Amino acid sequence: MKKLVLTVDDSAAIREMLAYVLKSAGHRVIEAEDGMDGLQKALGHRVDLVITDQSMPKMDGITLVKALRALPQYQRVPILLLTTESSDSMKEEGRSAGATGWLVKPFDPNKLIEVVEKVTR
Amino acid sequence: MTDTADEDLERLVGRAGAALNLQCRAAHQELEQTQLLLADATRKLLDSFHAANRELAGLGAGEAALRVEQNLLAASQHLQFSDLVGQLLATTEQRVDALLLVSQRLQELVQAMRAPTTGPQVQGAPLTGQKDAFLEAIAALESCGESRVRQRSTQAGGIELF
Repeated sequence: MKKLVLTVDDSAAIREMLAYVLKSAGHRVIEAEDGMDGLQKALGHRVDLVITDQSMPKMDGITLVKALRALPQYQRVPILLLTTESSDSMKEEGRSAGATGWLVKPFDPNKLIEVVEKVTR
Repeated sequence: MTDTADEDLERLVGRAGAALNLQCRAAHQELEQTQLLLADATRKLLDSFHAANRELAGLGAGEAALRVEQNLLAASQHLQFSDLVGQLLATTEQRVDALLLVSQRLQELVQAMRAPTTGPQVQGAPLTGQKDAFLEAIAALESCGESRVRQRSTQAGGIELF
C-alpha cells in the first residue's frame, strides 16, 4: 500500500533525490526544509512515515523526533533519521528520542525502498 | 630579553599575523567561490536529472527504458555528494574564519604593544583588552569541532533499525 512520506532536510539535493526514489516506488511525498518546517507539515497532514536529517537550522532531527513523539498521533508513526553522522553516541541519542532507525548518507535507493516497506508494513 | 630582542620578536609576530591574515582572507574567498560553484553545478545536475526522468516516460517499458531507469537510480545515490561536500565546506569555512579572527586579534595585540606609552599605568589597560580579545579568538579556534562527515566516497552508508 502506498504511503504519505514527510522528508525533512535542508539540502535540496537530498530532498529531491528522496522524492524521486519514493515517488518511483509509488509513494506520495511532502518536503520540509528544516525541523520546524517539518513539525508544522507533520501537524497539517496524516503522515505514514517521516524521514529526517539530523543537522539542520532552526530545529535538528533529534529534537524533531522528540517533538513528534510527544504528539499522540505520532507515537507509532515510524521516523527514520537520515544523516551523515554515524557515531554510536548520536545513534543512541536518536534511538532514545524515539527514532525507528538510523540511515547514513548517501542512501542506496533500492535499500531505502526496502526499509520504507519494512517499517510501514 | 633586551629591548632589541623584544622588538625583533614583536616584528616577527606582527609579520606572522599579517601573513596569516592575508592567507586566511584568500582561503575564505576561495571557499565562498567553491560553494557557489558547487551550488550552481548541483542545481544544473539536478535539473538535468529531472529532465532525463521526464524523457524516460516517453521511452515506454522496453529494455532501454529499464537501463535508463537503473542509471537514474544510481545517479540518485551519487548526486547526494553535494550535501556531503557542502557540509565539509561549511566546517572548513568555520575553521578558516576562526583562524582569520585569531590573525586579526594578533595584529591588534602587536600594534598595541608597539604603541608609544607614557607610563606603565597607561600601557597596562589597553593591552589587557587586546590580550583578552586575542585569548577569546584562540578559544573560539580551539572550539572548532571535527567534521561530522566521515565519508570518503559516495558508497552507500549503513542502515540500522532499532
